Amino acid sequence: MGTDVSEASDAELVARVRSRDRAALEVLYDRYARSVYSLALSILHDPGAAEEVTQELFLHVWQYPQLYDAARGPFGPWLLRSARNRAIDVLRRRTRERQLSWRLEMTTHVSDQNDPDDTALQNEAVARVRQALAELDSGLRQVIELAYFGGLTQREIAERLGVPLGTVKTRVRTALQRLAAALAGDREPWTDTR
Amino acid sequence: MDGHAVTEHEQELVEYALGELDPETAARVARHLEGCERCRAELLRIEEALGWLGTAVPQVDPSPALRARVLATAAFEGRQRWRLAWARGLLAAAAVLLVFALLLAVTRADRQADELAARQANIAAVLAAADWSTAMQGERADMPAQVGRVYLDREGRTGLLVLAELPLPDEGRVYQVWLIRSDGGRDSAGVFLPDLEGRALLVIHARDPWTTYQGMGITVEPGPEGSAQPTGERIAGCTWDWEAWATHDRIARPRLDAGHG
Repeated sequence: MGTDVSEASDAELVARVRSRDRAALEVLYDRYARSVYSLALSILHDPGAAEEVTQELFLHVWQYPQLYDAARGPFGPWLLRSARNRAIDVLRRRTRERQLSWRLEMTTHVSDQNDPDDTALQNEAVARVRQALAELDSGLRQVIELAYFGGLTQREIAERLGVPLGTVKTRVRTALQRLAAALAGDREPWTDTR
Repeated sequence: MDGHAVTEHEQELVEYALGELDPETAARVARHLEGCERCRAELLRIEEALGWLGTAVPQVDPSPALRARVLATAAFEGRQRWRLAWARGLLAAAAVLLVFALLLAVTRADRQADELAARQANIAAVLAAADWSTAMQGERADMPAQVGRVYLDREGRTGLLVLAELPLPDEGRVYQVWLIRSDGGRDSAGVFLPDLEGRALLVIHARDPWTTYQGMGITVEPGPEGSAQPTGERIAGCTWDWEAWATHDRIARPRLDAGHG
């Protein structure tokens, strides 16, 4: 792989993938596989299933690069949203009741385990979102973690926590707004803005 | 909040981004988004925050074998693309035979002639456009491992679901077909009852292109109209892995026997 490929922006790499350039896929994999795998693992707690999600996602990008629309934001967050959605889908297909209590148990400590030094993607946006998550009060953080990493619907969260649905909706919305506000002004995520 | 002017649709946008809306509401939000720049911008903002949130987890390296597997599969897929043309030919030929078989089956059902002709033409058109198919797996103990096949045009929105050996649902219940989005959302594709021999032949109209879906499920729902979201037991389903088409040479050949019992 030439240095020009390894230094290309994400948008350029996706364009190369469209013209069947495997070296571009390789660079995208090296950039994002760790983040994708880590997210899938945090949701599924199953290395085999997390690898499967990772493999399917990158092959999906290889097969259908046109599904990424640069007008809808940078590649990295798009890829991670896809990874999250795929992992949640796997999670939801597992035995539902057994899974719910387990998901509750496993997802309440996601952000507590954050080590700012261990991410593959060192940039300001990553730091800001982690900081914002850490600064959320526990009620807000709990609902966003259950919704995002646990794949629970807001109704399920309300039932499990024994709080009104309206309260859960407000908390999820507020938490997301805080995260979005923390990211505002940082328009240079990963390498995808050149 | 936080100094950001939000739109009146913000709650729905949050639920839309999390994939929590029922299909009808999601469709309404999507229509609104087409004409509302402010909400589109807000959705992008929410989606980007959700994307970054995915980095707030302990970072773990996947095995090196995974990298090798992904890249080898991609390379293999590149070499196999020529098979697509061959497969299209095979499916088209099989489609002709299948339509003939379906015609016999549907004729036996004693339908009105014009209804039959329209239905047959519709089915033929869907099959002619189909370039991919996969098996529907029975998921309940009293059902066979395979209960039929789905044929679809990967670049389009229509498909054909051919089912056999389905038990009749309980009184007042119907079967409902769900298309499973990549984000976990479910789009209803309609309700049906099998005939007395347990067969059904359904033309599916997906709301979005097939590439936005990853599978299909059939659940038992209250009749006659079904539900907005799945509520009952799932009895059959399939997932599809677009990459597997070329990567493993699992070109699904239509089973003609599935069409006429």
